[in-house]
Amino acid sequence: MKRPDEHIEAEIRRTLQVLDDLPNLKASPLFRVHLMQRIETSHQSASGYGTFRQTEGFRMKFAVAAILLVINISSALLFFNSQEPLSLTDAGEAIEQLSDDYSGEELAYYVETDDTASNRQAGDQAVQENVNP
Amino acid sequence: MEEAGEIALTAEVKSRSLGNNAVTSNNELFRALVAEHQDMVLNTCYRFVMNRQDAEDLAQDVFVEVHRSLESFREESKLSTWIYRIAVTKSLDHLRRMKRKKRFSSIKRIIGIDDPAEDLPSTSGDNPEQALAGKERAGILQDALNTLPDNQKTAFLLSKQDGYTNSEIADILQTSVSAVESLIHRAKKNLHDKLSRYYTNN
Repeated sequence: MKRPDEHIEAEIRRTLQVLDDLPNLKASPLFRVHLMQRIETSHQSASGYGTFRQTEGFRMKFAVAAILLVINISSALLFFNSQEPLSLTDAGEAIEQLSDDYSGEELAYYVETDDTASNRQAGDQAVQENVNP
Repeated sequence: MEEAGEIALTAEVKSRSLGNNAVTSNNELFRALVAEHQDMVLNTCYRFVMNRQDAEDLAQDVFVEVHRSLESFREESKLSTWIYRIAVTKSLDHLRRMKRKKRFSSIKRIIGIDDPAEDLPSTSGDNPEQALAGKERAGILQDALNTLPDNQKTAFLLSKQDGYTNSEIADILQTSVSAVESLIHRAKKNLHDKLSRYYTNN
């Protein structure tokens, strides 16, 4: 009856023994050489990236400043061009065109004449009389 | 005496690392630091990953990190403790990565996009000792270890390595010696239970 338990205990002991049997490693002679190479490479790439970032940052700032300057100048030019005084002849033409546009037959239903107003009032009264005889 | 030398080395490396003109001397001091701790770091990583190649890569990562962060070392603990703590952190990160990779490859196998290259044996073939001890047994042990909480795993594995006292393990884990003893005890019990369950079922 005890045999399976003993067998399991022996297996456990042997498995845990693997850890005790792990050898003590010695770093290879090239360990430090590789390490220093790695550190130098990472250092160089880090400093290179730093310089790149610095110059790139300066270029970006310069580009943004230039774009802002162009936008400012063009908006100022547009503003001053639109500020030109309207000549009287132009204004007269514009008013005439406006009155032509809104006095055409197509838009006649917008104009409420005296006849249409009195007709509507009479109609309203007739409706009220029908409701309250 | 050794500790005093280490403090002096740390102070010198730190002070010199502040100036760019002393890069060469700084590198020499760093080389000395590496020479002093490389075997301990390598073996610490090896206890966690049980593979020489991975352990060497991790040890390199540890010293790259040490080189990068030496200026931020606040001397709240010994320099060696700080270095070994980095080694433990890197090793645990590696194990977590491996666990994720394993899980992902299982999913890939289930959905049928299995990469045959992943099934190739690991480079542990260059480690005859492990091959002798039994690759399968090592795998079973590593699986059981990976189910333990990080602090139990760390305390147990460091206790198995020559050169670490419980007091040093406590410093690395930033806890008390009694807590380390308790962690080791619980780790042993948990491992025993897990292995027992494994061998009962298989």
